[in-house]
Amino acid sequence: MASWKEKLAGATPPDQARDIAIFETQIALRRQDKIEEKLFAETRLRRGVYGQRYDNGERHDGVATRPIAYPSGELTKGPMTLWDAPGMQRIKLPFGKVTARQLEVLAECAEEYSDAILHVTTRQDIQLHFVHIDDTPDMMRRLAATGITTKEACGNAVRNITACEYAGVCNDESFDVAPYAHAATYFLMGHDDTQDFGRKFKIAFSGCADHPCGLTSFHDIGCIARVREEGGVKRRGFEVYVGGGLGSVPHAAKLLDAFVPEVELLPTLQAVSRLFGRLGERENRARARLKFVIKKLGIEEFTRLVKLEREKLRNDPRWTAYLSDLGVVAEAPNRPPAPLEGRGAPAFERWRSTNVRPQAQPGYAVATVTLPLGDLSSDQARALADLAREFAGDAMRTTVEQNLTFRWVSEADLPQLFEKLEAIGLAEPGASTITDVTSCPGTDTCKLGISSSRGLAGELRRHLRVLEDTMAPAAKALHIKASGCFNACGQHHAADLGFLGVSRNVNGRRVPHFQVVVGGQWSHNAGAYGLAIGAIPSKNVPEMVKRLSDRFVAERRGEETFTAFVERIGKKEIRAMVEKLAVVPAYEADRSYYSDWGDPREYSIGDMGVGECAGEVVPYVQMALAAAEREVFEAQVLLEQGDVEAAAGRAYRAMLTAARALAREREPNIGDDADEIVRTFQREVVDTKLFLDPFAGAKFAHYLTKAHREGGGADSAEGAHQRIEEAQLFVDASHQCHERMVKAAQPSELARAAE
Amino acid sequence: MKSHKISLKLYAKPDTLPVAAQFVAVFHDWIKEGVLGETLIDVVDYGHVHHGPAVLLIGHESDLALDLSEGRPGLSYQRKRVAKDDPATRLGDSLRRLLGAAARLESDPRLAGLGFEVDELLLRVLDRLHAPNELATYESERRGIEEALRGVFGASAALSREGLDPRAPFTVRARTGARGGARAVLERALAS
Repeated sequence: MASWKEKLAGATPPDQARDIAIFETQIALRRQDKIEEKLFAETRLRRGVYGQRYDNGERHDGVATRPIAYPSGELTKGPMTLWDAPGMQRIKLPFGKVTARQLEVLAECAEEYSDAILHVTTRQDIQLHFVHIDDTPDMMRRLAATGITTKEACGNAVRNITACEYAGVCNDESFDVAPYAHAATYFLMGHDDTQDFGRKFKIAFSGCADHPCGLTSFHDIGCIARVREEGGVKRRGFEVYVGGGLGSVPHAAKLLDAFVPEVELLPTLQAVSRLFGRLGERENRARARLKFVIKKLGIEEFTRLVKLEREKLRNDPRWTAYLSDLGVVAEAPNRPPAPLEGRGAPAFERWRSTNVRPQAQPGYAVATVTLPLGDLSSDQARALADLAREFAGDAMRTTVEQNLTFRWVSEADLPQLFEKLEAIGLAEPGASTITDVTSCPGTDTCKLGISSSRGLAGELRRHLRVLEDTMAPAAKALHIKASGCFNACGQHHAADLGFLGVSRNVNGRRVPHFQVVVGGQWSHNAGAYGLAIGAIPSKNVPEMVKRLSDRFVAERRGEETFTAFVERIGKKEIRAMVEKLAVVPAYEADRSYYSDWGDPREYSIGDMGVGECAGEVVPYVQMALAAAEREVFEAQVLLEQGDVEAAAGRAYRAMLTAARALAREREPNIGDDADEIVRTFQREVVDTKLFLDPFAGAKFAHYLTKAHREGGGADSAEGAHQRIEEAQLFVDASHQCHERMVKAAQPSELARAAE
Repeated sequence: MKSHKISLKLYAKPDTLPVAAQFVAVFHDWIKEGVLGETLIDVVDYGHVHHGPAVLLIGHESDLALDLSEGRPGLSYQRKRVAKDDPATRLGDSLRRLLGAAARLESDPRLAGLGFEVDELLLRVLDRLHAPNELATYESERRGIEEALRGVFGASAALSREGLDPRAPFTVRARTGARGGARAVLERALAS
């Protein structure tokens, strides 16, 4: 078998196969310098193909910054991002669900294209690191064949839609939110109204308001399940919040609507998306998230605009079609329910006390697999797939605390499951306790990392596991989260104890530090955000954790939470504790302070690069015109292969793509039907004289109408050749037209935004 | 060998393995000093992963790892993409690179006492498309593997298929019969 493309030809869903083939073509075009690097960067980001530390070709070795001799030389895959530099592949797992077979294929991909490690992120994705871009199309094919997509996993797009890992089996939920998260994922993915964002867009679902699993408070859109009784009938809906977010300026989401009926969920998400695409900031990337739009307009005005936008939407049968099959993502247990009789061995009971939770369905339990730093090996992944088949409903869920859960475990099977987890080193207790430290990748692999959040998290785990047995329950229950920089991917604002990587200059030398963040709340969907009290050297963080947790236990009043304790004693008190640990010994006295955790190099911030979290702002119309160009190229290839009919058809398709992109600038509701595209293009772009070329007049527009009239095909190679030439001219003219549209729109932009 | 995605592992002699953090420091120095003659990029510490690749030296052409898989510590060499790659010589070349790295580690004073067993070798092909884990792959690759091993170790090796799980990579265990340290084997191979 020559390639995965051939082997999986029948197994990959056609739309995904086409999408991956397009990406492969874009890779080829970029190699020939036929796509501009910025455009290509956003293209790959929207497939989850992300940059990684050192991809600018430089690395600080502790003494000096030196070049890395990547063989591809100057060829780039984005601004200051070299082609051969390994990158990160983010893989979406909507609401965290992963089947046994999917986990096996993820393990294969990790082994063959990465470093045999699967990393679970704080947004329920899987990330593979050190992946070469040339390997990504095949990897995507293998994932697609099992129903996994990487589409829009990064870039200015709707990211992985998250939900509580207990959805469907939770004792406290209003109803199972997973099918809604699933529907929202596939409705918004690739949707026209989500292609024109200035930044990323994150959505989360929660089954209840009290627990933290959904973390709806810090998402662009947070949906909490609600049931309302009207006329004796119980109706499902969502309490919808908007404009939440962490990062350097955390915002709590604001209430958009206390009850959006389920039939209105998708149109509401669409309306908010469309508004964000239109009103979101473009120039200043630091203020381009939805939270800033809402801050500027106020929630009342934003709510009014959402309602107006909702009214303008063209009806879409997908809004409600999924409601007739809400069981689409449900799992069935493999074994009958049975209670667990008696007590097991001490190790089992210890694990059970923190990692097992009864389900709403009697006789079943959810078992959490604690993953150190969110990592597992390919061997472990295969073993977990076996356990999912044996004990659970053939699937698992990733969690925002970077763990995995087995659901539908018959309680009587728990000792056996524990034993098998022990055999693969994954029976560690302490899920969601002080030892289960969450961390972003930090300086390990992230271009923006300032301090080693993973190094710190690893050290804290080691340190706290030693102390765990002597810790008071109140201290054990604390949550610790670390981020390598202010972008807060480690969600440090929402922890009892958060740590945020910073750098300090001490006597002319850089020293890795962490800001100590206290007062955050993990419960109530991350109901409160902590504040930075002061920075201490990285090497003093374990001692800081010990002192703070000891003091909390010693001075706690009754059932006081850590957040309440911090509020009572005051941040000034905690600041004083921080200051005692802020002192850095002289370099000559203790050099360990001048290196970061797990990295013997002398610390430097010289490896920081330009992050790709923000993606590249490439408007929808520009992406679509690039797609049209690619289609012209594909038409040429098809003609070379002797497929005349397909070549002419692809050239015609290229013109339709470009025409639709231009027409959509004036008519956002435009559909995909060729008749409608040609008609709308004529009315909005040609009749308004926007498309008229200063020299050729309407000539290029006629190429489209002629091709459309003739049904797009050609009866000879000459005919196809001519159509390709016309398509190329049409796409070129479309670029010119777009420039004229931009110039014409500039004075009225603010007025339009205000509408 | 049909695929270039070869992974080879030499096992550490019992009780000779220093703490993993020492490897982190050594690998960082290898990048700084450019000792392997190929593009080296970064060091990753996965010491927290049970039986995982505890410390990885990431390169462009290949990776090296302090490999704790199977519960048996060793040194792994994984070939990823090599510019001048000849199917007839890629396994022999990979073996020499592994032995070269092992010899370098054995002689590093920070890893004092570390030694590798040269009479046993684990070969995996991380390429399920071209080398599925099945008998047919073994039969088609066996002769090439034997020849490459003979070329490096100087004697016939006894081969056996390992891990018959079709999901796992194609895996072969070799008993080379070699004696001495990695450097001795490498020098003998280079001289022949």
